[in-house]
Amino acid sequence: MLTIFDILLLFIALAVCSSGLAQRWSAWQQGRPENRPGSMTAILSYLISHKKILRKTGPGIAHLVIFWGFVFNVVILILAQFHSTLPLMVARTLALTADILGIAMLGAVLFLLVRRLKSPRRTSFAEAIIPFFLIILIILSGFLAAGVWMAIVYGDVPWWSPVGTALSFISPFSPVYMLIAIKIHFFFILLFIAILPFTLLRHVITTPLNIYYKHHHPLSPLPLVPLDQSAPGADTYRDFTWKQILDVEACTMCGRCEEVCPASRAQKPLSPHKIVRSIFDQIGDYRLHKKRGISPAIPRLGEVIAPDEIWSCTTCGACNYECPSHLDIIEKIIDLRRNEIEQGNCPTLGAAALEGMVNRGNPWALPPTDRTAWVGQVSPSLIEKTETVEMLYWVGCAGAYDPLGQEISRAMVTVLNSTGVRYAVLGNEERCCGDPARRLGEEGLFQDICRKNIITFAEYGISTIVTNCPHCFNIFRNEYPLLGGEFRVLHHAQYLADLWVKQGRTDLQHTSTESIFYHDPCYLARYNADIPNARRFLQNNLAVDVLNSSAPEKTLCCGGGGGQMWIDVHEGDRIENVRIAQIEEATPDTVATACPYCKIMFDTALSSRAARGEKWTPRIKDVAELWAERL
Amino acid sequence: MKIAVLMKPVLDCGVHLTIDDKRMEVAQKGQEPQWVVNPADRSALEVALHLKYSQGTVSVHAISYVPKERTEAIYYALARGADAGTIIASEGASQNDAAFASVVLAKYLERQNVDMILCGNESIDTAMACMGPFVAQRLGLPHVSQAVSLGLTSDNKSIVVQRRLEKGNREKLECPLPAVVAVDPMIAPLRYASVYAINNAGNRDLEQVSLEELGFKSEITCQTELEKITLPRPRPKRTFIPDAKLSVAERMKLIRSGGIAKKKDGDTLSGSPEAIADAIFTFLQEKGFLG
Ligand code: SF4
Ligand code: SF4
Repeated sequence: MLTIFDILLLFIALAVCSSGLAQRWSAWQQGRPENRPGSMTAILSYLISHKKILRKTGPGIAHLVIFWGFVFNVVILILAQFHSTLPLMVARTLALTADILGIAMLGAVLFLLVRRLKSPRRTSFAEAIIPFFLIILIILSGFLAAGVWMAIVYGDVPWWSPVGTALSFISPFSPVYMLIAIKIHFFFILLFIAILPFTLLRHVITTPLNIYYKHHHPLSPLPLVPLDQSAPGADTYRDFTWKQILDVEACTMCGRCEEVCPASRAQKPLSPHKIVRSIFDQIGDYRLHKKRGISPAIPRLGEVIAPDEIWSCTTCGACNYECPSHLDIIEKIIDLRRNEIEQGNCPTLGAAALEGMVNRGNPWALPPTDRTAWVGQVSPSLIEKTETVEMLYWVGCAGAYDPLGQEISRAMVTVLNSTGVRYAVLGNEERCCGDPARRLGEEGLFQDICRKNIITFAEYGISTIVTNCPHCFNIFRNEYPLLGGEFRVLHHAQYLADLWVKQGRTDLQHTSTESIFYHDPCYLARYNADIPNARRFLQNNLAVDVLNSSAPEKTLCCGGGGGQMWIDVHEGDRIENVRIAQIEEATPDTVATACPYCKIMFDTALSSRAARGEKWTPRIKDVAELWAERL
Repeated sequence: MKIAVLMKPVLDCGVHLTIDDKRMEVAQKGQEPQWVVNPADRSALEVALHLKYSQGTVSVHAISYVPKERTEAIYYALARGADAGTIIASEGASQNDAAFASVVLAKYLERQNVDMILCGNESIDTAMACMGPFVAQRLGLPHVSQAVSLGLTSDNKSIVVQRRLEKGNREKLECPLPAVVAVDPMIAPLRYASVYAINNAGNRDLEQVSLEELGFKSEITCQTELEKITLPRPRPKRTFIPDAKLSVAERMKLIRSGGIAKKKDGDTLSGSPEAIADAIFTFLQEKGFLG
């Protein structure tokens, strides 16, 4: 039925589409090289299951319907070319399915359209809204064409095309009209093809591609930056790798990242999707300028992304975890921070922490010779070169220097001493693990510290490390291997629980009636979701009832990670207050956590509540402290 | 325009200190010596770099008078953006002899033909606060100390400097170039230099000058002599009292500085407006602000 003219139009549409796609392709080809093996299984299983998209039920189902409706119709279209070869019954069942799917798709598209229109987020009409109308028009014109066809071809009421039949009653009995209806449907499809790369419809191509190349873990370790080449960090978009640029092309502006971002929720100047979008827009503008010959200089990312945005991130991982398009936003923020650091633009307090790490081995910037000041009344066993130990208890800077962290270390030693395990602490030979440096974007310092620590561990023949800080835990477990440091790393709750079972101990007093809310630390519950959750230890080993039941991975950050303990972005509320307000709904007697940063952040939030005279003022305890209390 | 910045590495004084009686020097207790760059000198460098980036035609030359291997300050300067670095090897001379150091530095600077010499007002280790004036005197140049702001006049022939005086007073001076300016650390915030930048600076060439090359004979006569050195009287022990209004970062600052002494009562007034007004009036009267 296609005329020469139709075929010509089809070619034009395809040409426009491919030139647009080529433009996009050339954008990400400008990035630095990065080796990213793709995985066909990843993309197929994702498309079939819609796993991450379905985390939001309504829009998830709507997307699922549209996706499968689209696939089905494309298949039908292909089959239709051989319609005579299909048995009648099969053809009719297919037609019925197409009809029902069509109606479902229409509903789904309208649902998503209304959501987009109501969303407070910046969405350009041309880019985000027009595609919706176009899809609606394609579906409607499809139905219309089917209706006229019905009216012409069939006299009876075919059960297999309810919509077509319904429309056939109002359609004129005219072959010309049918032809026009089919043509309109066809032209809308061509339009769809042509505008695809220039609107959010591009996600049909870019997002699956991005998922094909994704890391296996949503919160993959930050890749190692070679320091023998150019300075680390991204000053312009060209400093990103091609995959990082593909990332920004794959964003659908769904805004899920912003909804879960603690900084956005606390009205800080950061929105993860705005970062992504700013990079995308800047690349587009630059391309336009170059075309018009206006500005030959590659624009700097700092022109569109303010320092306060990147310094507001807690690297909590919520955005990466929720993003249905599998973007890695944290990696970009860290690259932007690295650039700021290399330019000498570190926030003053952050710089003091970094210099503390350089000169005194800890971001608290306290004397290295005070590292054992936490010990107090407890007596931990100090490591000796002559004796190998089963396990190194890594105290960490918070545990060594911060009054609140020291309470945790002492509790740990109390519990450990009661087990008879041959453990030891490094004492004054311990230094920062390097996590604050890495998250603040000081890659050189991190690598320096990491190498020194690996040497220290080797000198003492250490193979197992237990930490009470999830940040130390995460970096030892996931990022030290990047520089060759492979150890068995355990988080304290995990270690204690195993030990208790192994030693068959039952001597914990289960008498307390306090109600406990367990706050999941991001660096355990999200970054290391595969290890047993400390919440379970509270329930199984300490036999306490935990008030919260939401999924650990959905935890809201305390506001302390990613170097936030040392940076003060004044705008907006404090993140710890937002989380405490959430916990307040359960009004527990005790807030339990498994991270010294969380403890410090919440203590700050709670003490200001107490000062305001608020009634609910729970105590805040690490799981190790709860454990020690029950000995 | 050429700016020379005098940079000095000092022992990190934020740790436990003791006195090395034999060498009559301050030492760090129980640890390997950890050197940092004198904060006021870092501020001086920032002033020079600011002029460089805002003027375009400025070159910044960092100079350090130290034992050969004490390269911390120079590499820091290069990492931050200085154009050249010189180490005048002080081997054989006493580190505490500021008078002699100024002779050496002046001798070197004489040949450099610089338009401005910047240095920190004082170093945090010996705190003599005399290097700026000494060098200026020996070179016969005008000198301004305690500078808290510095700008060039439009013809680039003089500088306008604000000095910090006692009790918060300020003094504004115009001074013809070339001149020596000793800056107060508050003139510019310190900037962090990354490990990457410092390592990279380590690959650059330094100018190494020995005392012999400057015409000093091997026999060096000490111009100042240190008689005795003691630790300050211990400060009253301060405890960390968390303040509910503080953010975590502010709390961190407090912990670093060793906590705060307990606040006196009476910071906040409460009661009826009349009572509060009364209390303020009495307070001002007591302090002698009102007659
Ligand atoms: S980054 Fe991901 S979650 Fe955020 S708007 Fe884009 S697609 Fe959605
Ligand atoms: S890591 Fe957390 S704080 Fe940072 S942008 Fe993502 S959601 Fe926001």
